[in-house]
Amino acid sequence: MSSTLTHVQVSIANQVCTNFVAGFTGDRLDSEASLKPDITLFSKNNAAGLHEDSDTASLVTSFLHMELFVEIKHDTLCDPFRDLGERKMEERNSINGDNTRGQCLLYAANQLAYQHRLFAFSLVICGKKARFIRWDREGVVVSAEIDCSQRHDLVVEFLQRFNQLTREQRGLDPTAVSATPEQTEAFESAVAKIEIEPLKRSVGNWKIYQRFQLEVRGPSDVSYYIVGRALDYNLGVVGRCTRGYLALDLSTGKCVFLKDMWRPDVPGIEPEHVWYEKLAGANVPHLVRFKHASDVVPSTPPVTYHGTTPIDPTETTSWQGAQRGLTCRLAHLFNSSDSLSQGRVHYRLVQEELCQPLSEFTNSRHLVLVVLNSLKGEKRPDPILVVSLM
Amino acid sequence: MDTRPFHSTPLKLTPRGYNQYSAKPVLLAKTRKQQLRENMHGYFLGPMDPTEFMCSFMPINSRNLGSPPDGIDFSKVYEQANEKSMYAPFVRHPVIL
Repeated sequence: MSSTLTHVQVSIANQVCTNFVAGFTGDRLDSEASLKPDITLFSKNNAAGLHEDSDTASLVTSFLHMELFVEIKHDTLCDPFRDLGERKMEERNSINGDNTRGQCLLYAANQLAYQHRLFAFSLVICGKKARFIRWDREGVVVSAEIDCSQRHDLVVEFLQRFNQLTREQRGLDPTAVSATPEQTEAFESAVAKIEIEPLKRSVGNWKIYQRFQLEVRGPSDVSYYIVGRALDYNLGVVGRCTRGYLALDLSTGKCVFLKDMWRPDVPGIEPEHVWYEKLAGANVPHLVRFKHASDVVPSTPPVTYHGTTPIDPTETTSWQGAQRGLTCRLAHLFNSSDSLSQGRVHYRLVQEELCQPLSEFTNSRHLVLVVLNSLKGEKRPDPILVVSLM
Repeated sequence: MDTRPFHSTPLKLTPRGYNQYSAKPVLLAKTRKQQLRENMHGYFLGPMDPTEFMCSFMPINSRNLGSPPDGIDFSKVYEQANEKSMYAPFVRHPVIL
């Protein structure tokens, strides 16, 4: 159904972004997310993303491979934000503004969900006005509006800069690397032996959902896991955004359940594994067997901010060099009255036991039994058991 | 601008909370957009000066970016009569052979 790209007429984005292919994707839905952003940039180094529909010779929409989306509106009043001066702005509360902002949010949420990403950029053009946007799990940074009739050079510079950024600088997670063919083969054969059908199906077809190697650090070593498609991608943009994966543990050759999430970076809110350990120590029944967990620490410390204005050195609960959100620490640069939600730390946790998804219960008795087992700790006087009900 | 309280209660519904265990049919994009807008209200920081934005998040990896390609005319994007016509000057336009 698809073939490599041929015969194209080059335009602005393709003239500037020579390392990418920019295409109109607004006329076809992504096969899973069921969305169609106007314009999408795909990396020329990612052959999997460079396919076109043979019927219409335009790019196939894919949130799995999207590097940048561009939302275009004809009317300036479709701008999703309104600048108020003195580094203040507001969300444009109009039908058009709401619509554009909703579209951008949906695209960004899916881009961050379907890929192993820490952040993403996008560009919004509404008539003569343009804005740059940076999305991460703590919030969104929006540029002031640019009048393209006066300063289109800024939009061109944005595209020029984007064109030469490394994968990591574009937001891709360096601790998630493509699995080798041998690893992929081992993963497929391990998954084939899984008896829980919904889990087995969840990994998706390897031809569509590329297999990745993820790492989880221990105190003195690093463990590697192979994953495919996550159980669910309906995550939103900010927050914990937990993705669950059926994973192959390369050290044991056994399948495990891996949770990839953004835990709150707030003193007093313990990471999930701390509670697993406390619950296990209190002999709480019906707990899933927990293996290990860690903040995600890449081999080289992440550098995501290059500005000259110092960012807020907020106290952190994360491991040294861990991947953190950035937006929260930028809040003091703007005239906002309060801090922006809370910081987030990228975190992975591995459970040794595979469980049936809660949505897959056989009958109502089955579901009630699950709830009953989780309530059994209620009889015990230990206050820690309250946590087991969450 | 509005910001979300540091420790807001009760727990807010997230897109996953709205939909994952819902017995309702899959939601249309229009409804999902509305949910996300409500969920994200107060999470936008700005406006940041465009040059500051680029310098803060998009470093130049070589000595300089070089000159932009010749002949870029942005007016061909924003001076179109409708949105559909704005796409082609901005991105590749397939040639029908």
